[in-house]
Amino acid sequence: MKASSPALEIAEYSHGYHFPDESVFRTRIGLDESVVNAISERKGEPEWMRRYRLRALGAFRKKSMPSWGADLSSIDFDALCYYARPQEAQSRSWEDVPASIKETFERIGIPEAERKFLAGVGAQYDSEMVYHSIKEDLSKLGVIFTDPETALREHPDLVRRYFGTVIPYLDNKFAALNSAVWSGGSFVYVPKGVRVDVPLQAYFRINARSFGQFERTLIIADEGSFVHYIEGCTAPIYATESLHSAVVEIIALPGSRVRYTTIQNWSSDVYNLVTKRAAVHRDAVVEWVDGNIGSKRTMKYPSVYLIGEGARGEILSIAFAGKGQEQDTGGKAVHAASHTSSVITAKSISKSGGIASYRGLVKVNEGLRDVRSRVVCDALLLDGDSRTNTYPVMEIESDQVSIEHEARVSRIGEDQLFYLMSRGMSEAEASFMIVSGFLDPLVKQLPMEYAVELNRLIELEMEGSVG
Amino acid sequence: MMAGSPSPWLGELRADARDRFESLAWPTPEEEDWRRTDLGRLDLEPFLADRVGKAGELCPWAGEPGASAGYIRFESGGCAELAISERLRSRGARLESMGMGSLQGESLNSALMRETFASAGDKVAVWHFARLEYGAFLYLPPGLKIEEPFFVDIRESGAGRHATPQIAIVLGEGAAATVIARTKESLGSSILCNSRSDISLGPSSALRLFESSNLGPGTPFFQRSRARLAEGSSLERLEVQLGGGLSMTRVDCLLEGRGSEARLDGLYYSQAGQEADVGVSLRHLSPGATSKAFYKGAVASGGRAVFQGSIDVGTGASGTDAYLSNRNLLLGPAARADSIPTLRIGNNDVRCSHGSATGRLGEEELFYLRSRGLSEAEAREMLVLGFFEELLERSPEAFREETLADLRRRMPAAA
Amino acid sequence: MASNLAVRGLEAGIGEKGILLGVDLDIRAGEIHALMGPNGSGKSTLASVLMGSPTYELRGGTVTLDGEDVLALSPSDRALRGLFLAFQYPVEIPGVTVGKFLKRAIELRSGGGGMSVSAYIKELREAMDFMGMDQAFINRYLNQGFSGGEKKRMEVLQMLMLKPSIAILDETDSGLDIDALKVVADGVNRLRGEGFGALVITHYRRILERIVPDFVHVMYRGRIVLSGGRELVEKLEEKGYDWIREQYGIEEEADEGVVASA
Repeated sequence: MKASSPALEIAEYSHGYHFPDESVFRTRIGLDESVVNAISERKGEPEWMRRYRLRALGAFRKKSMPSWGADLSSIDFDALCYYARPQEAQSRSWEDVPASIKETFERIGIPEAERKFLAGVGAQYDSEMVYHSIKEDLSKLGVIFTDPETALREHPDLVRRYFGTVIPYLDNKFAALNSAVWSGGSFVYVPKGVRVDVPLQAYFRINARSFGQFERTLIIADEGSFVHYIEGCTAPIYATESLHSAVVEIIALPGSRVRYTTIQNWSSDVYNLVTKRAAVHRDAVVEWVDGNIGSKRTMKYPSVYLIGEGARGEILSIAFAGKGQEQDTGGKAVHAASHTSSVITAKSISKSGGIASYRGLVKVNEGLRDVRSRVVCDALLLDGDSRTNTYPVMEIESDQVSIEHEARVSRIGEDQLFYLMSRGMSEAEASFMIVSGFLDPLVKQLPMEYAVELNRLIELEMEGSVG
Repeated sequence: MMAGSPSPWLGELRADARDRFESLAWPTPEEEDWRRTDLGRLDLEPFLADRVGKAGELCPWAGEPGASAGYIRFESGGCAELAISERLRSRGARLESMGMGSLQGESLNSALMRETFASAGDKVAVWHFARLEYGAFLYLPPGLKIEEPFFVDIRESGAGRHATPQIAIVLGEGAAATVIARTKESLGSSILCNSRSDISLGPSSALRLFESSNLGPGTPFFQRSRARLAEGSSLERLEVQLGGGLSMTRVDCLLEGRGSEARLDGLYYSQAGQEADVGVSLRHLSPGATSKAFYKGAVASGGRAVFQGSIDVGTGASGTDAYLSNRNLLLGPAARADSIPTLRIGNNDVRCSHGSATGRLGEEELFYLRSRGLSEAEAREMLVLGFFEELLERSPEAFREETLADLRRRMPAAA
Repeated sequence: MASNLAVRGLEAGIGEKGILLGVDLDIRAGEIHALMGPNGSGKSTLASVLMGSPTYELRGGTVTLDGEDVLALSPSDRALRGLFLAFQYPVEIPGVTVGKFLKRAIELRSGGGGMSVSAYIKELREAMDFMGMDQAFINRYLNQGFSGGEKKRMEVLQMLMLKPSIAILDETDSGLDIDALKVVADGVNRLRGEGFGALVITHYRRILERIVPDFVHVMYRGRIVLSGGRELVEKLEEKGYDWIREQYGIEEEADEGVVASA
């Protein structure tokens, strides 16, 4: 028997699953009712969730692939494994980790302790100590921060009330897929009036020993609360499977504020398709900060549905498309209430034939007053091979609005290069300074360590391009 | 060629188009270009029947054209009048009625028609060629530069008539012309208007084209304009879209020649019950070309407009300078404006950008005007006309005045 | 670091157009040279070409700094050798703050070692005070949204921080009011000394009353046609550029004429 990834034992397959012992478990290749049932049973879920998953499977089969966006035609749904217990997904030896990845860790300055974890080596991530003390502080505040499986067990009513309310499984094919086979992710609940001052980070969760394929995240910020959630990291992430389809739902109840930051750098041949949406209630604010580097194809359009008066949404998107990569990203703002505003700022960089596309929607429903929206897209093409596309759509059905959109394409200016070089910088350094200046207004919004790591990562990427 | 019967090429073209027409299915909103216009809402049956038009009659000659360089007028498919300055004719200019012109004119006209037919993408576009009855053809030989404008007037009327107005313009190297084309529908008609303008500009030639459409409130309207620009040529065009029920207009500008320039402006106004789908595409296929498109629309309560503009820059089009702007004014509740500006850029030595803004008349401006004694309606009218002014200020006086008058007629009358 | 800049027969242009048609010039350490001339004579082009602007094509001649061929060097290397250009129209670099940019430039100048952050900030603040610039500029994006006067002061500020051996100032005085002019002149004079040479390109005599030149040159149609001492400024003031045109406009060879030895 051959393993598709090194050092992995394969269990026998029949009727969905077979596990001779606790340590090795994965469902068989392909997707059908028995696989879905196996997943649900394995997790010990309540009946309603199992039925939900099955209905979602039905929707997945019926729905067609999106007719726009990155080219997804080479995904073979029948050839994928849809569930593997986290530990198995991460077992290769440090020697097997490619030298380029090791060098990246070194250059970006990833702490030793994290390197093995990120590289998929070993199952233990030694964040237990850190996590425990944070967990104590949080529970004193009444904040729930755990994985969705645990939440389903310990807070079933809360989950049932909100799960799937922002992104129903009928929404699109990949939301349906995730709804059928989701596993892992985060569940966050912040009680009324509570401010969580320290950002909640995904990899603090003990159970998160891998970056799952079908993570499901649900964040509920009760009235007047504040939380900042961060997921991903700038270091290249080892992934066994090639399709990642996550769903993130945020419910920002009246007066609350949620900031969700993602920096994703998938290093391998990954298809990264994420549905992220926030329901923003009266006087609430949701901010999406989305950084996409790497992966083969990414399709991600963080969205804000402004459903209460005074709601505000902001989407900041950074995309870097290198050789062979397609970043298809952007944002959507749907105004369903008066006195709402949205801002979308998207910056992309394409290099060595990479393609960065912005796809966005601003929609204003009928009969609304005092709605404002501003979208700015800036694309930087570093060389003649690279491409960029901008596909914004504005659908405006109310007249008491102010809707603005602008997009610009540029390259590194010769006069800018000359100016910086006349102050002693080499061409490579001057190029990098201009590129990091291009991103600066957005990078400034990231937590310090991320900003620093991101800058170093861009520098690395650019070394390849400037001779 | 016998007087009174059109050249054979026109019949052959119609026949080929008919074959292609039969083989195609009507486009649906599943297709990219038709996503925002649902043909299924129209009853096309009445217009499919073949109706004999007046085309084929020799155009009555109207002597010298007076202040213009020439003019041609069509009434429901028949050429009603044709005049061109003898001086210009003797220098090689040709203004003719399609199918009934000189040997040289017919040869050039048929070549252009064949080429654009080959580019026709969907059943509606092909339908135009399948029923092509009449058209104005203008040709200027190399080096001939004419300042006075040519006029093309198209008047349509009838019940259940599928009208296919056609304008074709070919300019030789270094030639220059100004053309004002107006299409109107008579009151009380019920036609479907499926029109085209096709332009071929030789190297270093220059065309200024002002086109307006003023159709009945329920008239389905499809218009395709296509322009090919050779090296160093320039096209300046303003289209004014007023009237029509469900309308879908597309401009396809191919900047094929190095250093070619296009300035494409558009003005549209949608009243209650009207749905306009206005599109313009700037395609940079060669280096050093410049293009600018400014489209402005106003939508009254109960009306709807969609603007779809795109800039496409091919991999070889270095030194491109392209800009697209769309501004929409919403004049009341239940007015809807969609704006979809697109960029597809494949070369990094470019300057490309686009902007779009949608909103309503400024409260402060309205207040100011009213404080000077204007009524609400007068103030609104003044601001709307002011909104369109920058597009009209470059047009010939007569065109500008007529457009302003047409716009005024559409707005709630000032007391 | 004292340096001597020698320009011999420098020719450059764009496309078919020749702009510099054989420029000869010597700027030795400790000397302040003024360069004047009518619009279109090639003054700015000379400044850009000396710094290595990619816009112009070199067509002939040599430029050496202490005997080393400068034309073979990239703009970065010329800067590291001690050359500096205060641009006439400084370009904007969005997203890069003044503070961050200058620190890097200084680090490069001092061979990667550089001063400590606190020492750097101290010197920067002091220089900004001297130039009459608000401290807030440290966190502004370089040249973005700066007025004309602010951009010019920023150029001189950079010069003060980078301490070049040969500085070229391309119409740094144009568009400035009296106060700004004084500050710019003070900045140049502050560096004046044995280790510093400068070429002040200007249209007006005002600045030359404050930065008193040791030598004055007049450029006309791509060449330096006249050189002299500071009395040349008076003469030009009196007779205007027409006098130059009369002298040199018709004959293309301007070999004769008054060329004072440097």
